[in-house]
Amino acid sequence: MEVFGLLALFFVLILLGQPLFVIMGSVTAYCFMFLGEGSFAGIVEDMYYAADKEIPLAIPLFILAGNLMTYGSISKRLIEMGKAFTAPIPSGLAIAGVFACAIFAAISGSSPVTLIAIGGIMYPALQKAGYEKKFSMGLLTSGGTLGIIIPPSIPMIIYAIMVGVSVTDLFLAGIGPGILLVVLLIIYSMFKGWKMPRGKWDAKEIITSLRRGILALLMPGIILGGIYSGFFTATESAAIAVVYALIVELLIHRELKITKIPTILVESAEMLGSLLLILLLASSLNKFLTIEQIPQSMVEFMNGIITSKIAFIIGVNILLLIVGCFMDIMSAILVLAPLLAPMAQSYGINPIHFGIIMIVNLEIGYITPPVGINLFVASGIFKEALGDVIKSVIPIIGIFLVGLMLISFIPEISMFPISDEASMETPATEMEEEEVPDDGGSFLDKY
Amino acid sequence: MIKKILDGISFAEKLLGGTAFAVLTILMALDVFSRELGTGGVAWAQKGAIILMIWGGIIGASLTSAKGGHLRPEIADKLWPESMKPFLKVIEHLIVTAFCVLMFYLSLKNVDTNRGMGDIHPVLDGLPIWTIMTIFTYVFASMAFRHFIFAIMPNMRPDDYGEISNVLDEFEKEEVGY
Repeated sequence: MEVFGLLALFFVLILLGQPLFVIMGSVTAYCFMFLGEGSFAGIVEDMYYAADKEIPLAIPLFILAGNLMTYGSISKRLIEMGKAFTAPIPSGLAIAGVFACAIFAAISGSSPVTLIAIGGIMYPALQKAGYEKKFSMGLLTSGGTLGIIIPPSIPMIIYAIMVGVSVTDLFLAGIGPGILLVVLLIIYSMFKGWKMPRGKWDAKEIITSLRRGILALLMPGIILGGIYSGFFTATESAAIAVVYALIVELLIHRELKITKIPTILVESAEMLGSLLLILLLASSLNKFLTIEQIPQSMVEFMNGIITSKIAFIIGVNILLLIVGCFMDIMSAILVLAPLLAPMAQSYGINPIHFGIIMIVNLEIGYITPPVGINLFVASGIFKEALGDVIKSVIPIIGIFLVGLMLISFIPEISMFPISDEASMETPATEMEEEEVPDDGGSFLDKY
Repeated sequence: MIKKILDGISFAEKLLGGTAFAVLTILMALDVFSRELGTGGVAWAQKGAIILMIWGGIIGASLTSAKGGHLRPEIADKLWPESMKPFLKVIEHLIVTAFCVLMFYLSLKNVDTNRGMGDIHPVLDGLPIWTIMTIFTYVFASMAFRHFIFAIMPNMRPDDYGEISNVLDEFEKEEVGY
């Protein structure tokens, strides 16, 4: 009866168009009240202790770095650089678009913003160069989604918080799958644009574009290099990214005026605000699930039904693809990661590898109807019918599914940069000291 | 009058949220650079930055309310007939108000309990934890007030600013540049 009440509450709030923080908070309060200890008075205290850790600190800093870095004309610089390098390659201009999308999305951290910044320039350019309209639209609509798998990525930080794994390892595990998806898009572009006219390499153009764009290109490199070499943690790398972005945009590119900084700070606070409240309420729900040992019960239940690892991977991929069609990535991670990661671990899947599988699945959700945000944004900026945009991404969804299968069944694609010890350890011992959650933190340390 | 009050609250929150963001960035950068330069880092910087993140982020939630930008599942929007939508908006804001009032009460009780227990921050010596938690009390009160006004005064409501409309609006503003 109580479970029925919970489901009814959830669906009524969705039907009434409630904000996610109200849905998350109401569900948490209901769980504590009717399925738990009979009181939800501790929710605010849970929220405070969930925030009082180092990992969430990386979120505001990466948001700020992204906002600072994308303020100027970085999109144009990246496109110029891509064009200069890919001129003689078949379908060079389209490949330049893929390259610019991947780098810009990694820097900005936002898929729709990437679509606007790169797509807004590249779509008319591809059309003018004679590329098929459907191909251009599909490629650019999908290209922006690459950012969440290429570090730094805020969904990865959220997953790390909810599951209790190392952000650093998750960032490193994203490198291989990010490169794989970019390569698959490049192969598709070459196949579609093989007969397009090609240019020649121009040393002067290459040097000029490199000089103009190298600083933007270096940002993900500096962050990953610093983390990989052990020079700084993920949170510290976020602080470095902010300082780097400020130096580049204020002093070198000189496209950001100091008077604009307060506006960027306020915008960043707003962006953090919409995310932090949900995250903290989800942490309280997470605590409830831990106390009631719900993940353990679900693991036992699942182990009774599905005995093979392969069947689990296929099943979980289908589930996540369906979820991605209806939920945004943050909500899906907050709700599902603490439940699914222990199950994955019981089938011998490393939680870092599972995090990557989950993020790639939800990445596809950006371009699947009915709530794929990139579809609506693309329809708006390209001024094309939504139906045409949906048709244009169908081949790319197929390509991403191939990538997803490779990533799911070949763990080495994700796990190669992570040390053997780290990949074999359980999350509780794997976590960096400052990332060990408290009682309300993760399931896996208790699992 | 009400508009002036709402604008005044937004201005103060922007000032506080923006400052918290700026100072937390400075603290983190100071800590990393001083450590790398061999002066050992600033011991309290990270904890100070976390407190500022809590303050800046939670105030940001209130600013997001003012803008109508909270994430929400839009899947059910098309299920309702157009004629019912104004009524549903009132219900939507009243439910948010009720939720924020409940959270305000819980945070007030939490602050009171913590004050009574005399909990002190383990790193920032002498700082009572209840002072940090006060931000939850303020923000839920501010959000409850805002959403109540949005429920009873439709002309005060922000546009329904989902992520899609938000980015498209930015695009419209910048389109000339492309």
